[in-house]
Amino acid sequence: MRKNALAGWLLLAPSLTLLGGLVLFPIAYNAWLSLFDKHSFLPVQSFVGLRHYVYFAHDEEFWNSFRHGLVYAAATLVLQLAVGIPAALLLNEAFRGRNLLRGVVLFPYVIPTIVAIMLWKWLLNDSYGLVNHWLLAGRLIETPVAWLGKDWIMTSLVIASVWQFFPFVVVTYLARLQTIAPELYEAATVDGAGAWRRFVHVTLPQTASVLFVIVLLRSIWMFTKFDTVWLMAGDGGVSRYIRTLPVYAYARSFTYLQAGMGATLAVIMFLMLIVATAVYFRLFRHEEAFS
Amino acid sequence: MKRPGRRRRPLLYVGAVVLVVAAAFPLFWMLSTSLKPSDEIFATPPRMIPVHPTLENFGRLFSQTSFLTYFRNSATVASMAVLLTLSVSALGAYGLTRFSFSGRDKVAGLILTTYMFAPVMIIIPFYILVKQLGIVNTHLALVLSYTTFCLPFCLWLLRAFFSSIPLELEEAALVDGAGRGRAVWHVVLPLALPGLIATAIFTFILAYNDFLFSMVLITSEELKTLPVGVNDLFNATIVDWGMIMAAGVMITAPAVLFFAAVQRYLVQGWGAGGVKG
Amino acid sequence: MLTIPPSSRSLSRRHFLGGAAAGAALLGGVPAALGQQIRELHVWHTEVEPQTVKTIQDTSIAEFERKFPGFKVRQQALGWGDLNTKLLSSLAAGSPPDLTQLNPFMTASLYVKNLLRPMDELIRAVGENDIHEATRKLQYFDGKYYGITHAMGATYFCERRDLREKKGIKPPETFDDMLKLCGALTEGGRMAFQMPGEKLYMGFVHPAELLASNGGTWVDGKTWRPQFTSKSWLEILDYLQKLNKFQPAGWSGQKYLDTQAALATGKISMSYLSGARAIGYIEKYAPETMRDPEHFAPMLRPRGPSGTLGTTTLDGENWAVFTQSKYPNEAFEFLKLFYKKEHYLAYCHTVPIHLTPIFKSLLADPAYLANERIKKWKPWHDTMLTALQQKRLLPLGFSRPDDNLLPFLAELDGSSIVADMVVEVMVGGKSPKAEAERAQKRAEELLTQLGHKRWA
Repeated sequence: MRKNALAGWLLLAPSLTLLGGLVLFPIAYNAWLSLFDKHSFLPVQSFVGLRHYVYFAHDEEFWNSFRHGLVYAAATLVLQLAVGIPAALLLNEAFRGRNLLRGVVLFPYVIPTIVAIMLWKWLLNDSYGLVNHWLLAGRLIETPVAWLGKDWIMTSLVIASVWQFFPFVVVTYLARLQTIAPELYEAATVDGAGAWRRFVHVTLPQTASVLFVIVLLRSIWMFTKFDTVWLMAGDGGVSRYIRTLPVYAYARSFTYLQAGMGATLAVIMFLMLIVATAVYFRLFRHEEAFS
Repeated sequence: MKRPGRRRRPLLYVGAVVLVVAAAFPLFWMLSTSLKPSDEIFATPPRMIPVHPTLENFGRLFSQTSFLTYFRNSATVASMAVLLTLSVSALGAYGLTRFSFSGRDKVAGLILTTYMFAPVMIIIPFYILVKQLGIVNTHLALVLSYTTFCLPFCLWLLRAFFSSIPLELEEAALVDGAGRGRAVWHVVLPLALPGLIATAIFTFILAYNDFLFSMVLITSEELKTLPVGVNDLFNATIVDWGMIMAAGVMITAPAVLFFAAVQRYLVQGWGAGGVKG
Repeated sequence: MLTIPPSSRSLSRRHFLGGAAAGAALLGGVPAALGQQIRELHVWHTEVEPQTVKTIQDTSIAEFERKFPGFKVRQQALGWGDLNTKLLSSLAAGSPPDLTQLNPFMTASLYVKNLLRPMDELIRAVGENDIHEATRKLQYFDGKYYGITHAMGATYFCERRDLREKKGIKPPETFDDMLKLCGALTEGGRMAFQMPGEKLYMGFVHPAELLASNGGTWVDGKTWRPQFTSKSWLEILDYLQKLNKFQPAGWSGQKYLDTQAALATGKISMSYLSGARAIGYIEKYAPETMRDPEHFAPMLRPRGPSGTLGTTTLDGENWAVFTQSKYPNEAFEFLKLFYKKEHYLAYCHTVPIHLTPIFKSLLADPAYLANERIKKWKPWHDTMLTALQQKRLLPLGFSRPDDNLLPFLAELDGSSIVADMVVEVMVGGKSPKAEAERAQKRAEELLTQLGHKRWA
């Protein structure tokens, strides 16, 4: 290791320029914009101070979107874990075709969101979709379910999102599972522990910190997810029932054409994340020390 | 690695089958629909495998839409983003692991923090900035945005890889008279290859999938990338599910092939750095 | 409007070069004229159907490029949903098209910001007095013209006329008639009608029509105060809530094109939003023995209890030239060629009846009526004429003619305030009064934020 600050900084310069110019600067600029009434495209602008923040505190749409976001993030998170962890445990076992399966499981995470959404809209199509067909054939329902209508749109969105993002949980969890020393399991087996007790007494404690990281990351990312949510309802009237905060922020900027208010929502989301990130960092340090 | 006992083996295979179906069946259904003539697409009961497979959906996709243009745009933008991200993050990670300077860990931490940010949170100022740089409605704007959003994770990943490569190996090469550049090229990079590949995959996926930047920053039809172009296609069509699914297959195929070719590095790569990402 | 919404169908003209050349152009993408000094005239419009794009290319553009060597016209057909955002962002970036189509409800807000060029000379050149009154003065501000409609299309219900006549019911005159008709037509698994689920339609276009048909307005003409809690609105919401029982449950998640398919395949008896463009779908998807105006007919809108005349949307964007346009004179010259009789008739015939000429002299012109589809679907053309004659047409999103002066209709549409209210009342079954009050509050806040508050 060399003590050469200049070289170190020089090598980092391109990264820092990009991140500073295209992420940090926009964030600061957002904070500035949020103090203005600004039209998104036309040169109309006036200073309003913190008025937008006060406005959103009382804005029913804001709280609706916030609630939708919480429901969406919580539901998808729980289901991603419920599917992803058992899948990772399975893929940690030795059996024929395991490597192939490890690849296949990642598919949903690799394909573009637009494809995932089109695919699920086709599967959930009320007239010709396979899901309704099977449910009807199995006599589970009597009339086709309007999966993309008001009552089911959130469920459909959650299903599509869990399918798309659970592989992240699999990969991340599996990576940690692979580093658990086999001796720990052997010792537990010698002590007469069955599969369940081995999981509870060896696997869970060993993976506790990675689980926490997964939970934090996934909840942050699901809470700020834009494209999946937006593509699901698009310009439909039904978008009202799955409008989350990122979608609301986008709409304020690009359809209400109020860039200042869109920026305010972005700053609010940002502040929410700062809190989450602070927690994350504490845990992250912990995790590093751990491994 | 544990070897499950005989009792658990059937259970294991049942689980494996369920997992395969859950992950891959929707994709299979997409492929199957894309190969069906239109009367079969709307047939009840639906057939799993097309009775009279046809390529006409693909034919319409290529002849009646700008799919190939979108495809070329996506490929260009994603590969440029991969190249740029690899260069920038490899330089940065090398700087972070091979030189010690005050504030180094703080910088690394700060960089990771930016990984939290979702594009939608900065899209308005980003748009204004890009406009002022005069590169709105260009592929360059997309490449820069993808690179920026991949950087935190890629830097972090490569930092983990580089620091796992013993300094002695590099120093041995230096002692043997190789310049630092050659030492890096011949010793460090080959050892960090899985990390570089993971970085490339990650960037490629992000750039190839992006919807928001492309929707906001690109206005010309001939510069659109696949997700936006195909979303338009989707909005334009109700009856033509065959063509929509054909588009899905065409978009997915390169991503899956690319991914399959290098996926063994991925689990490994994410294993080393990804736990923390 | 009423086109396939987004722009993917908007095939750029390269696609029509045919065969290998098209493939090569697609893959290579290198402009043939690389290096040469070629000035480009950028023209944006919303007629995305391939045959329309090709016709514009082969007629007006071809002649223009012959007359103005050194100029190349690049037409871009944009989907309806794309147009506003794309235009505004191109204006913001300082590189708008030289000539574009605009939604009439956008024109006022651009005019008040001095972004449009007057075009009186052009209007006189193409025949000011021959332009139909339904469109002539829509973009007429302070004594000057700022736009000219490209063509007129009426919108209406498309009904299964045979089904209604079997019941012995006349076309509905009032909201109540409509509810009765819907009740009679909902049977045996077939629903009476279906409304498109896009916010643009169910949350902007149709509410505007309903207001106009029921003596209501978006805002007070003087103070611009929103009128969501007015008697007219409450009657409309009540009507919509009752109407909702007669359409498929999942309608809010479906689109305009789904409603056309549902009608053609017999799942519903009326599509709420239709235009002569729907003939194309009928001829493609309806059973072969039913592809005629006896089975599929247009039906005009009923009026509400507080209204006098059932009003419907005139689908017709207007051409506009920006002050920032690089080649404004050439843009006007291009328009003169566009409206040249032979070119214009060819254009109108690409989507017969839906692209009805704006010139009164052409409406009964044998050359116009000679088109096969107009002949076969004559009752549709007649309905168009009736609607024009009875003054039942208002531009898209207008609740009254003077709405062309409101500079905030785009933002009102984008805010989805109306769409949220409508969907909560119809699908959510919420109380019209409570939802109207919520919309009123949101709209007042929006107009205040946008700086358009004139009320005390």
